[in-house]
Amino acid sequence: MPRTEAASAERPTLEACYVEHRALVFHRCLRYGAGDVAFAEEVTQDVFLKLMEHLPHLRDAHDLGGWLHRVAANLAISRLRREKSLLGKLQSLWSTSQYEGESAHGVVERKQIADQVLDTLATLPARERVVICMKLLDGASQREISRALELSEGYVSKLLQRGLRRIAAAGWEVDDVEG
Amino acid sequence: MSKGSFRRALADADRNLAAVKLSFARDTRIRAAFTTPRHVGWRVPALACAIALGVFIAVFVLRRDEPPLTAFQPMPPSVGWRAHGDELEVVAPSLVVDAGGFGRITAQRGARFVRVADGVRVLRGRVDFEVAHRSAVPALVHVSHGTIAVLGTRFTVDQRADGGRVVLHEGKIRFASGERTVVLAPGQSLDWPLAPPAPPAPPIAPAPLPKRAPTSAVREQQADPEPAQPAPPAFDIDKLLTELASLRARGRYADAVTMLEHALAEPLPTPTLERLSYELGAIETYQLARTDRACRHWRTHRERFPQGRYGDEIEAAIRRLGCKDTP
Repeated sequence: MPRTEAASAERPTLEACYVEHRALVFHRCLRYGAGDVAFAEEVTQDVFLKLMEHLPHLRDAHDLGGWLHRVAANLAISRLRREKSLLGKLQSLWSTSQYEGESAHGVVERKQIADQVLDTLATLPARERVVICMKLLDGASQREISRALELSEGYVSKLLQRGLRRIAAAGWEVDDVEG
Repeated sequence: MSKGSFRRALADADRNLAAVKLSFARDTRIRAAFTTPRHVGWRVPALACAIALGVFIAVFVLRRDEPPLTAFQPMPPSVGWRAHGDELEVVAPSLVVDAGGFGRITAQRGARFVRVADGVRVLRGRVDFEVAHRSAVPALVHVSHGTIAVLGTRFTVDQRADGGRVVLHEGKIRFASGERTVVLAPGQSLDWPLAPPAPPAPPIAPAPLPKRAPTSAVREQQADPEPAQPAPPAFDIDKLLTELASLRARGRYADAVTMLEHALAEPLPTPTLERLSYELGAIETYQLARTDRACRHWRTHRERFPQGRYGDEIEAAIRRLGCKDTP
């Protein structure tokens, strides 16, 4: 898992942390949202608001990148689950701020295959989606994923297998993915 | 048909996603959040509102029957009273006083009363009380020979030098004097000092036959071995009063009026008739608030019982109704 070291031994300022990590955090949130820009922006904002709250007390400030990654993954899972619930669907009916901004599908519209893969990703349940992204894009081991999401390794393995089965059922090849 | 390797396709899509940047608007909003007070979401205000609502209900709804007792506030401000220390003496024809946390007091000229910690003490004169509803701790009205405990009602106290009287118009009051306690229902009155308790009843003897003036026919019948025919049943006033109290307690005032009208047609002793007539007028005045009928009834009542016992109470009722043509 890539890590970003803090610029100095002393505790960095919030603004400095934001400038340094915002792009990476937003990119990860885009993955977990299967390219949904509005979703990624909301989660990114939540991540840095969490950081604002925790920065003065953060013990592993030198591993801020790892902390932000864990927080982003967990906040993305929470938000995906909330939006999938009936209440989330109802809220989305009258929420105007949820889908502002440019669509990632618009950015990748010329790449049909990318659309399809993001569509498939979007069909996965929240935890399976995040686990698949961490495994396939970040190259994280099951142990690293289990630590980041505070889940057991066995459960992560089960999520991974379940996700891959769904992806295969959608017509993709998953033989090159280690289980 | 296979779509190809998911891993490779995902990696390609991810490269495209990497080109997407956080929007300027969102970037500005996040930076602004760093310098403005922390966003607390809707849960904290909602919780605060729920707590505030709970406190409001506890204080103003559940316990509204026990407001703090405050000093007298004559309303409107007038010169109709004179102070003797803490005591108020009414010098106007009548004076309305707002006894905060207790209710409203309407005192007639010459009445003298004082606010005490648990209620009001009437020293003399005629005072009408409208006590705000209380569910737990009763308000107390102290008089010369006892204490009246009230849980929201209207009644009149007339305190004289040697005793007094209370007439209950609505609700229920309990008069306590020493070891004795009397509960009054609407329309009932009580005089104090209380009469000494009756001695134990003698052993029940067989009921005597109704006494009648011996007539020649009766004398003839006395010699007749045939048993005498039973007398027609007497009108049971106690049963009527019990039934009346029951109807009032259930709020069936119209039925109570009908029952009283029938009873008033019975050949009853004048004091009983006067009492029943007064009960009927009180219901029309205070419970049914039928002004025309009540005024007409009081006019008839005064004509029928010109030296009646309820003169003051009827005067108060007529004043309340605002009867125009009643002398």
